[in-house]
Amino acid sequence: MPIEFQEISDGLRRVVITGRLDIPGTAEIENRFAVFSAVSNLRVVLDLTGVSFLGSIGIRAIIINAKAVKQRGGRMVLMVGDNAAAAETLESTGLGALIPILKDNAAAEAAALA
Amino acid sequence: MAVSSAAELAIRAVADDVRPASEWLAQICETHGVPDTQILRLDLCLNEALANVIAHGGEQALANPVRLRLDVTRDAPTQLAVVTVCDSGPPFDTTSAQPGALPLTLDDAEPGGLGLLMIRNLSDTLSYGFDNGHNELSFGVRWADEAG
Repeated sequence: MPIEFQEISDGLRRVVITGRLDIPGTAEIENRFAVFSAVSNLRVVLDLTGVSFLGSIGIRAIIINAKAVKQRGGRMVLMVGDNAAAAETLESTGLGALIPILKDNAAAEAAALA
Repeated sequence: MAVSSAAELAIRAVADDVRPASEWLAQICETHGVPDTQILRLDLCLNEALANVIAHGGEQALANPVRLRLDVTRDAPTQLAVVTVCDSGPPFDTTSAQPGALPLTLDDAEPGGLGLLMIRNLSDTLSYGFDNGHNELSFGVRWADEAG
């Protein structure tokens, strides 16, 4: 499964994406990504540790869903773990200034709940 | 003394051909000893370039093959791999087009327009030409030749 979610606690959800977020990969997950994010007051840790390729179309999907979560009163943070390539891409495109990017899981959960 | 090698592939300007192009690129790069990190940089640039052709190239681009070429040049102590994307769309100079300003807040962020920025950030060399009705965009990455 390239995308799945786990309820960490009431109102805190981990959405895990794996594989390539290129044109076909993003098309494959974008509908479920939107459904997983469409909950009021939801706090989301978006786990990108297993993403092997992050293109601009994948970043576009992240921005769309982070905005949707925020507009519903929630908050999304990104967890990259040791995925240096994804972290570098996110930072180089300026996304780090818009959505918190964290390496550590506990810190990501705390940031989502902040 | 520089030693060069090259490979070529023609694909359709459709989303279904993007991943096969990536697989071709990875396979040829591995054959020529391109490091994984540099393959990923080229692959990201290739995806952004092809996405641009598919989204903005118009009927001419979509009706004709997109030709891809990989050139690997060994010239110790550095090596260079360059991908050239040749399409039939209207002239578009990626090297001079200005990416949009980065948003300051998530509310201001528009989902799109990052492809040009990524190509510029990820490539060590970048050039553009328009020849005989074709855009030719070339992007390259360098790395140290460990063998010297």
